[in-house]
Amino acid sequence: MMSATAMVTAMGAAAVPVIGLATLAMMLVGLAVAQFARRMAAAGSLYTYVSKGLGPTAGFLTGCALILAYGSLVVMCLLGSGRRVVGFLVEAGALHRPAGDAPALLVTALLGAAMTAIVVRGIRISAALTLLLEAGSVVAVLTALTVAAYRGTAAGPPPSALDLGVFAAALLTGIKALVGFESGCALSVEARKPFAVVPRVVLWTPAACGALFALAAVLHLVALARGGGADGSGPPLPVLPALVQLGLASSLFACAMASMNAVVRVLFSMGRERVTPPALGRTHARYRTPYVAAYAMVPLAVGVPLVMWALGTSTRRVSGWLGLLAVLAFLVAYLLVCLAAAPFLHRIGEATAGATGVAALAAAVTAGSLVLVVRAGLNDGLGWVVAALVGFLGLGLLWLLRVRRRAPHRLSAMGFFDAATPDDILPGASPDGLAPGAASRRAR
Amino acid sequence: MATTDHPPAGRQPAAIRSALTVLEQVARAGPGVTARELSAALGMSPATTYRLVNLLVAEEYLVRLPDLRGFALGRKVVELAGAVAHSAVPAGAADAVAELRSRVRLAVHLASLRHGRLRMLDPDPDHPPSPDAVLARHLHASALGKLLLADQPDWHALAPGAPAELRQLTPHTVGRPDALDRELDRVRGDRVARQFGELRTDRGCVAMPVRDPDGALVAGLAVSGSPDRIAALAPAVLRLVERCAHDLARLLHRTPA
Repeated sequence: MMSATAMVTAMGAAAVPVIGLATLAMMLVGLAVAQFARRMAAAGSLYTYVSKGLGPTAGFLTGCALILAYGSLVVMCLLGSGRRVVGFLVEAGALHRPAGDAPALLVTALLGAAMTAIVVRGIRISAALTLLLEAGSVVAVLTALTVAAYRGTAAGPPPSALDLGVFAAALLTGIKALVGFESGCALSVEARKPFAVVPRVVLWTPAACGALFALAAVLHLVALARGGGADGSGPPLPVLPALVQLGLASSLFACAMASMNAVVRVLFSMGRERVTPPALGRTHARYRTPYVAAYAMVPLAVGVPLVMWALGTSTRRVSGWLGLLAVLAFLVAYLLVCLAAAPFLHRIGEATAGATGVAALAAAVTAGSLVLVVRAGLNDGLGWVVAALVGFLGLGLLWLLRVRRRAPHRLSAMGFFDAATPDDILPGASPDGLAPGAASRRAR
Repeated sequence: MATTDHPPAGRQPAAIRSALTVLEQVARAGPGVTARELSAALGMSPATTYRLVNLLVAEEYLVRLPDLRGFALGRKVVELAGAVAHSAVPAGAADAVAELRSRVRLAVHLASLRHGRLRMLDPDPDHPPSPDAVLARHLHASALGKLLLADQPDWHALAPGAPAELRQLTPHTVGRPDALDRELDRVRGDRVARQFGELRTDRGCVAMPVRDPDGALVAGLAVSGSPDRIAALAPAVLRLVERCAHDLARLLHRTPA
């Protein structure tokens, strides 16, 4: 939500429609994703969906894009959270303003370790914690923005002229705030009524987040409009900045944890299907979580901050790179899932003109956003991030070729999902195809 | 996230009726029925049908089968059906079937054939028959199913899918509609239905109808074993089965099963 204020500062009142546009695009993607979520429960989320719709190659590419997207989101959010925790300590007077990034990086590494432990411990505790942290942070940041709106803020530099470049940058920010809304799909296997709950979550998350985001932008606009008026010139409240820092820290930590939960399940699914090292598909004996996949993410979550600390790069710049990378990778995955929706529905004989049309529209909007975001990245001189994404996907394809040569049957077995077992079906009504005694969905 | 796609208001009796019709049709057609088949059978628009089946799947009244195309009744239906789904066979009838089992040394199954549906009432515990779902979906391949089809004025009404789609389960399955017509005529004449390796190559079966005093088909009594054993069944054994079926007519009378 703080990026909403940045957007308003950059482009004035035009920020609100851009936020609306980003929300609309993500909701369209949500509609396409919901078509799958209504019909199957899969820990691999979009990876499995695309495998079912467009075949193993596209599915594997989606998996790679998702790993990259969630992975960079995890690192970005952890870095941000670490920075905000240090910011909070500074505002609260517990710490002097540090010269370098070292304290923030130390906190980031600690947060990363804590997050991994919680993720391995199980979804119940991490979901409860995520909800608590997010609720707290929304309240904190909205309070701060409302107070700021009431008191007025000294106007920043006038908004720059609205051209395509600014629009693309703003769209990037808007989408960045909303990506990851589909992470709930990865938990569908563990949810109680997945076919009812997950589609609803996928549809409403971008809507609710977009609305919050727009609200934040409007509040900031009000604050700017009131400017340094008579009633806005009072001394700043000392509590507010600390509150905002704490709210952002907890929100970013929650976001990192949610992304971690999702990426771990994608890795788990790919490991289960043995298209990646099968160890990733192992689950914890006691907590039944994919713990190997979780530990596989640790070097990334803790290692990147350490490398940065060694190289002395500023966390803010790295966060920018990671944000762009995440948005690009997410948009690639979204584009693929939108493209996969119609073939999937056709294959299971449930295609309708409406669903196909919405999926096509979503694909078009996603492709357009992708082009704009690439443009925004190139404008910022970050062409190498785009190249890195393409390179990673290319490596993924090479890996897939290797798997195809060695074990072609693994490719045809891709798209594992949680099928109904005799335990789910009315006794005596199971068709012959179902093996009796297979583990029930509940038991797994 | 307490909102639902469609508020469960009392204003939408039509939607509820449609959902129940879909549920009924899945029960009738048997597991594996696809959304498109449902839409065709009910004359509902595809979009409406797909929305309804997905809603019923979300609420777990229906289950989407692993091929993602077919549907079956879900566990939740049991909660609704309660005792009816597990209705016990009357004690007298169970005793009669148990006695037959002890005398013929073949698998003996008793199945309900009421309301145009095949449902096992007392499958042989030592030699379990093919699952109900398989029997219900491929009536043309089992002796009990042929009894049921022969009793219908028009057997096409019970066969799921187009009449041309009599699935060839084994090389011996009666796959052509005209051949099945002749076979069902024979069943009506002999008052016995047979199959030799038509459902599974290693099984044959003889089934006799159980009718209530009004002549309505209530149940079927089947003995099953290897196809050559069934083909060479002694007349004495057939008489035992026939007498048991006759007794069962009285014992099953006026039970809701």
